Amino acid sequence: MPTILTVDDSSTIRTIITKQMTELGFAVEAAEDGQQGLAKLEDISVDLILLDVTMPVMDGPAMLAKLRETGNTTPVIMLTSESKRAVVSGAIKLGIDDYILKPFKPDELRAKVMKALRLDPTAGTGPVTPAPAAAVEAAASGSKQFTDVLVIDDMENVHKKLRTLLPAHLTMNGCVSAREAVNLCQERIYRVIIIDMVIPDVNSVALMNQLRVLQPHAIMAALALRSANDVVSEHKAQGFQDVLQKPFDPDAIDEVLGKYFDVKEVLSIDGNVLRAAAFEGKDDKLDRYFTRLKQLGRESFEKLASACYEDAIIDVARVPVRADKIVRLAIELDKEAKKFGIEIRLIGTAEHRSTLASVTDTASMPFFDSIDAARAA
Amino acid sequence: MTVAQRLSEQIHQIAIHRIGTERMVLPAMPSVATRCLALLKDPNFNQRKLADAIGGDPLLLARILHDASSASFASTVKSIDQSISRLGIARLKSVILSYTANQVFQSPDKQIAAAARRVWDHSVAVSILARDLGALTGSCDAEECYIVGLLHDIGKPIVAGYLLEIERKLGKDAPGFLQRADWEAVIESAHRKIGVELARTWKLPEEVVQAIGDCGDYDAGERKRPANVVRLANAIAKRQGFATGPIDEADLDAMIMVGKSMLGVEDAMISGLTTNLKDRLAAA
Repeated sequence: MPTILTVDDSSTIRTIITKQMTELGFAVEAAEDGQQGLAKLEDISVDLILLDVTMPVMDGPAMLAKLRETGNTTPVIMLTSESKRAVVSGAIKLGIDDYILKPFKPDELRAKVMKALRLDPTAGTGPVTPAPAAAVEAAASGSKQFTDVLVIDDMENVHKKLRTLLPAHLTMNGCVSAREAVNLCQERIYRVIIIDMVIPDVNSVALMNQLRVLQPHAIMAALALRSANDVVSEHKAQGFQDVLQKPFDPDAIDEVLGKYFDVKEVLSIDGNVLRAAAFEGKDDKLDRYFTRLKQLGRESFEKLASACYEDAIIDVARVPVRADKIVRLAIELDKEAKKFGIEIRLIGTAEHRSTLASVTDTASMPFFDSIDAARAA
Repeated sequence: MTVAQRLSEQIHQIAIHRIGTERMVLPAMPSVATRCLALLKDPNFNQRKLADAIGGDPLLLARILHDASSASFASTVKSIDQSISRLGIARLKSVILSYTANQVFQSPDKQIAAAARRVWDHSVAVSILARDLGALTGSCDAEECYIVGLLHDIGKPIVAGYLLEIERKLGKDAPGFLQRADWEAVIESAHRKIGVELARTWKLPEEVVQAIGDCGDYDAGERKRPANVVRLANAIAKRQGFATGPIDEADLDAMIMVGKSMLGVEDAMISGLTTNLKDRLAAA
């Protein structure tokens, strides 16, 4: 167990340090001034000294000088309210390892003590031993909450707009400043971090580099204004892994998200059966849902044609019955299918059937209650 | 007393005398810059008037268009109105002050021009780091940190100009009147007072004036001040090779150690900020 010697004339500071270091599993010795500190070191050997500067009898620099004169090379962290460069540079010349300004935060003391003792800052005491990457990651993450996406843009409207375009099951945080972003990245774990390229007060590339240190596994995506310039190459050269452009293109968002998340698509394909997923989310996303169904339908017909299918069964049972939208969807899918020489048969509920039957253009489309019935036809 | 110390003392005396008798000739802020900064003091400023004022100085106009079209914005602007909207008030102030300060660092004398160029590069590096440190640590107004960083050494080229004036008065035309180390020592010891006077003449914020006057020890009383951010940025810039004179390694380490603890900066943050510093300086 490493032993730490705290040398400080303030009993409050000695008590605080003793408490914190004991909690970390270290043994702690205390002295009120440099002379007492040197006397302690004649009797015991310690692994680290936390040394104040201004003390009665013998101050910190004097104790440090005497310590080094005797060839003692124990690591020393100067822990003081003294910030004059001349004093600190003098101590550096005598060989201090680090410096902590009073008043200090427990995290800073812990991190600097662990560093001086060459211990793993994410673990308790004991020497650093190679650990499996996953274990280190788990220890580092601690109880941090996982969030899918962080968007950093000083315009809150951008957060709102992006939220409407993300699938409902993905979680998202938005923030308007670099400071907030750094705080969030210290508290949480993100999968994708989207950084606006024009954030007041900070260079976005510098911010990205900084956040990469805090979130080494996150994907860094630049958020740039749409431009005639080749911003994608430009920002990738700066170190971003992906680039999104404003105003948002829903397809581009889907494409980027598809690379990093298991995004459930609205149309799946199994043999020659196309199944439309149920609509999830608020009504303002409904148009996008239908548009996406049409796009994926078109792509699916191409795949079916490549596989020499001449017909397709389209299951729309879970598609919401909005008269104009379901009718237009059926017409559009039929038109696209015919381009590839494919005949379609629809499957749906009685409500779908009656809606489609009420419109001339869709009334004659083959419609069935089940896949078996459609296949048998 | 060395030649450098005598000259330093002489410069001090000249400056104090001229300030006392109001005969201190400091570079005037260009009238266009003065007008633009006055307009920008009003948060509801008239954009048309500002655009007209900027248009009165083609070099300032070019600088603003350049900054509004820089890599961080990803696309090129086509008009001054678009540039104003894109940069915003705080950034526009910085651009105008940067343009104005840069003129102080120009000199027809080759030796002074070269030295002033080194100081300017150092100042830009400090200002970039200070802005990022201010924003990332949430210490204070990042744009103010940028301005303080940019102007913290603005007295140096003026002192260099005085040295040239003294050299000519002494009739020492031959090169080597002052060794470079002495020349730098004189500037180092005399520039702050003159920088402060210039900042006051230009009516810069008091925080900027104070930071120019004392860029030495940190102010532990109020940790998160722009001046403290600039002190750390100054030390990091020097460590990265953007120094204007000899470096005391222990002194530099001390400034970095104290600044890190004072502002809550970790090594990883410094590493992130300095990774592409040279590229960013080249693009500035």
